[in-house]
Amino acid sequence: MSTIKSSDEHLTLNADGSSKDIKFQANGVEKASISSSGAFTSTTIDATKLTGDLPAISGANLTGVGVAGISSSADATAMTITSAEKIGIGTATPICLVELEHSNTTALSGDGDDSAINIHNTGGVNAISTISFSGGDHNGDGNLAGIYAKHTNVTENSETTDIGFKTSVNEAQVDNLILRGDRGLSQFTAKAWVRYGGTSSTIAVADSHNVSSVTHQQVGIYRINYANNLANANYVSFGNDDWYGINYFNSYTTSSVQHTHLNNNWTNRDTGICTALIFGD
Amino acid sequence: MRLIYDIDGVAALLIPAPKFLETLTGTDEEKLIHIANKDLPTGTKYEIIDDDVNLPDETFRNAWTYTAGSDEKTSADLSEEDLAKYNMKENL
Repeated sequence: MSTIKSSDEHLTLNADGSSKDIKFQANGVEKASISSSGAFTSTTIDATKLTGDLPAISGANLTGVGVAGISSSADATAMTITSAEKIGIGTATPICLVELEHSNTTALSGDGDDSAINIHNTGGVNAISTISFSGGDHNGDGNLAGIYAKHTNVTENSETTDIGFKTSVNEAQVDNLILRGDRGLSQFTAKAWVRYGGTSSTIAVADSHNVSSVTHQQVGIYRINYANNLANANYVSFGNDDWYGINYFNSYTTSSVQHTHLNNNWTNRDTGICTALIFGD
Repeated sequence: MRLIYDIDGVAALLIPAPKFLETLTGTDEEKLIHIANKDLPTGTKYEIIDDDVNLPDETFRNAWTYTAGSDEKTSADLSEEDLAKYNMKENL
């Protein structure tokens, strides 16, 4: 083995001439070189021999580098994964599993160019895009899965806002308001419904939506109490029963409505099965 | 369990909706108290009775009257958080 060695002074390899490179060969074949401009080129790099930090490298030069399937042309931080395994896009300090942060103040365009998230399906006429929520405990309490949007201001945009979510300031400007959880209601879904019936001794609520209780007040007179109040008392009611179906609603309030059932001689009558359906705001 | 209370001199029975009960926490009695606070006007006197309590003859249902028993309760205000949850804006 031959060795070029300098113990007391720097060892200089000098390719003395314009545009002359320093080349390293093995068995007559070039394996590495240092160009006159300082660029180091090697046929391979044994990463196990590397120590220390890599220098800052532009993402534009990292195409194809890293985990297969990920490419980047960014030249600034676009995504951060914290030590807590939280992913931040537009933020280096994500507060949840995935957080997107931006300061966009531009109105949405047709394809959502200015959206934080855009799902674009290229499937043609039968294209379907879905966001799904799943889990093991759906009790209708609205705690497991949901979409929560909180704004300090909302500007109506009838062209792009098909569904709006409850805001802290101006619900009226949202085209179709959807409230939290299982009470997610709009003007085109039932605000409340209930199937109940019986006398004071036998009365029961078989099933319901947005109903907290039913009060048997007198013979044939029941009051349906809503779990969540309606926005106003100008709502629509429809009822039926398993006797003659003669029934009516009155005493409409935002929190309840009275439902009365009658016999065919127009006297009040307790009925085994009563149904009520409510639409409104 | 049910609630019994007075409406204009006639005893009324309030039956909770099972689906709504599922959303509440606590004992059955605590759930009924919560419903009383929610669905009865504040200050209403009421009692919680078991489902198997024998009630009077239904023939005279409209003559039933509520009489205070040994465990009479009074409906109270809901918390502001509950008022907001139940969209009871007029009480906030």
